[in-house]
Amino acid sequence: MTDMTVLQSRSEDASTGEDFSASVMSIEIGPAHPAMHGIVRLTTQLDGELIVGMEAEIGYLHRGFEKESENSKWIQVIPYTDRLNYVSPLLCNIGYSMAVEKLYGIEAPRRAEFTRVIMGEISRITDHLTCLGAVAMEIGAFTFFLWFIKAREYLWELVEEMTGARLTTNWTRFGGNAFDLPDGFLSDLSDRLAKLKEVLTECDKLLTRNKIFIDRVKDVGAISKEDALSYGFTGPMLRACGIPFDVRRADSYSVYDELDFEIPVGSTGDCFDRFLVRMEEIRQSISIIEQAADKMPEGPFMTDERMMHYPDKKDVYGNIEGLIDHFKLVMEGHQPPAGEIYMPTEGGNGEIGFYLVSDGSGDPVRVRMRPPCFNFVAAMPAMTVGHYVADIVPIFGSVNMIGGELDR
Amino acid sequence: MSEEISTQETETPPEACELTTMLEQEFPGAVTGFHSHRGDETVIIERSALESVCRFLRDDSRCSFEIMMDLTAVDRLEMNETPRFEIVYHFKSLTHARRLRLKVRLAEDDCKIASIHHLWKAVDWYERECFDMFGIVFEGHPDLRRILMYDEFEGHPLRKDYPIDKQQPLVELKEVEERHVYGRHA
Amino acid sequence: METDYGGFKTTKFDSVVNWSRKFSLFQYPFVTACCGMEYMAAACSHYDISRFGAEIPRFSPRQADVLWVVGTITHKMSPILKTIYEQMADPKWVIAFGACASSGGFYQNYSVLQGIDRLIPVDLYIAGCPPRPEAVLDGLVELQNSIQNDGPTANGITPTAIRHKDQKADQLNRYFEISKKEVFENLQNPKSNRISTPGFTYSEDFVNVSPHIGYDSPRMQKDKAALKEK
Repeated sequence: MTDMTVLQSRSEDASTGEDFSASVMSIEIGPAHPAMHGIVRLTTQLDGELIVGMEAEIGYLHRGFEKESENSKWIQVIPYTDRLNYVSPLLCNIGYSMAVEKLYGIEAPRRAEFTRVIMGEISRITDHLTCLGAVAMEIGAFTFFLWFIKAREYLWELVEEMTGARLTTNWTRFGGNAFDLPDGFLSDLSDRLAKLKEVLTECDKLLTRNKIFIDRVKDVGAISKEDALSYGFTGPMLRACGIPFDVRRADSYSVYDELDFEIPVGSTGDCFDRFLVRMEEIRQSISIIEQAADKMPEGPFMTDERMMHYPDKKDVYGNIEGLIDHFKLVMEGHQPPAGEIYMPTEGGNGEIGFYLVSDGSGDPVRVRMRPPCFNFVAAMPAMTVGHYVADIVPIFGSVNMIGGELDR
Repeated sequence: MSEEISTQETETPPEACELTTMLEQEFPGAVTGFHSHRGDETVIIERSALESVCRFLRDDSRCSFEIMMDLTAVDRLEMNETPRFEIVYHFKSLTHARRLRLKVRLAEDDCKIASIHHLWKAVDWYERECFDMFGIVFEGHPDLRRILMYDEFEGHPLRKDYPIDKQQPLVELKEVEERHVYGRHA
Repeated sequence: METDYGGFKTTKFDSVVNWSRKFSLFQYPFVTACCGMEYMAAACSHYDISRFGAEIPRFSPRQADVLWVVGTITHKMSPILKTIYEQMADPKWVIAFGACASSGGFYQNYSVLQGIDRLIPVDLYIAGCPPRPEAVLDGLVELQNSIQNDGPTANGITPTAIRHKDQKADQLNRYFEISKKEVFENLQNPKSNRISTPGFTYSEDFVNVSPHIGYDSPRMQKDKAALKEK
């Protein structure tokens, strides 16, 4: 088996000289383990409470995203992308739509881009809230979880105002968005962000300097920079190791180069650093949302390119071009030109890359999503071996494994 | 239809092709094709040169691709192109802020390729996934078995000739009366 | 405590027992996918499932009453679901939460089980993708009514369901009656080799792989046979 490193049994230095070596016990932390984290089977080899070997088995939520996309039109894939990283679905929507726009070679109008930034950052905040809440709850800080879920409800109400759904949003389209900002959205936004900041300060007081919490998560699950790069880490996990790589800065897309934000970076790469990085990222995201809301331009929220947007109903029923465009778009779907692209965007967990191959007909040849947490779970054994069973909980929680993204 | 949409393809800046020229110099004969569609630099190389090219990309200071981003395959059966499979590697360099896509083409009856798991640790699971979904055998991989599907599954689902809803249940399933019937009543 | 489910007679004692059962449901949340987020939302302070008595999740099937199957169940996961269901003690109820658990959702492919009722008997389906927490609570209340009126499930189907089955069948037939004219068929990808159209589930030639783990594995069959001999 790979990844099994068997350490010397401790009891061999017993004073009597007898070899009381306990045999290594194999325990499965099986797929059906307490909610919150999706399904992964961790087969651990234990020497008492010490983990001497571990193997992760995934694939329990493999829903055939890529095969289903090949059997759909390009635009029918957007609901499937919602369910990839289902705690930050808008980031997946945005990533996919930007990838198809790159295939076409067009850009969405500025208002659409700013709205996408706002909704994307809201989604990123919900991702971090869920992750940190789950980590805290499993360590025992249940209040933290309840408060964060309450804060998540505020944000989901905002998402519902904009897109119509709390979780499976299906909101971006190629060349823009499906819906524009509703009336009163920006004032609702500032109210909710104020409430969110209150919750953040209170929760910060609860855990960040709490000795009990720090003892559980400090120096647990550390990974070195070289290992992290070799394992292909991206996102908060890599930033916690000390490498300031953020796709929004490195391969800047959308309007992120006009917004001012910092990239929080940790030092040791242990669970505590990841916790702090995510907390700080929530604050940075709030700042991004406020800047984007201030700079929101007027204008169209959907591109004017023919055969990209569904025409207004008055055109569909009014003139023949609108009718034909609508008909062809619905019947034959979008037909991006032939080619292949890779579009990296920053998701909640790291770099979500969509690799799309098109052959010019309306049917996708290949829709591939590069899953950030695939690398993290592959590195789980390396991070966990040598720690105790009780450390699996914070490590696995800080990895923020999302089943929909891991197994697609 | 695509003529009406402005492709706005940017002129490939000269630095973007630098990697291709470097690879062509270091590994003569290995590079069989390249393009830079929408600014993504792509190099197609021979299968035999894969391991040395990847090692060069990781270790040479002019490239230093520390992160192997993605490893996947494309089945080109429906595009009627041979060779059928195309293994695609995406790399990212943090020091030079650059990305590269590497492609290797494999024929259907000979879909074996060298494994590069010793160069980046992430490659291990990605190669297992590629084997699971497409049936590409990575020679030298320490533990090449299925990762997303279960071991009893027969076939490789992401191949174009695998029917999308051919199910292979693991447990005896009950027959449920059909809930509704769409379509023509034959 | 004579109860005759055939005739659906219940006594006062039964109604007290059922009352206490329905308001102290111990749930086993078998959470796999996105519906888990809405389950969490329903269970937390904003929507608060504990005001209906179903407060604590019990993460051992031996201690749980209600199996909430939340999210998509794939074929790889199905033996595990079956084992968990078999490990639960009677009386037990099963809730299929979400579209994927009810019928496979919009995933109709090689890896998704098209509805958990192909595997285990289901008492309540909560539709939605994902269902709003209000829908979840509504479903829970309906389950509680069914527990109060009909008691524990008998042979895997509640008496309500038996009573309503014919009614439901009539309703569905009327709803889905399609007139004789041509029905517009969804223009699928012409290159697709999908072998079953919507409404049909399995193709004629699906392969039933011999299961090697779980309830129907050869090992378990041997155990069952051994028990029968005794």
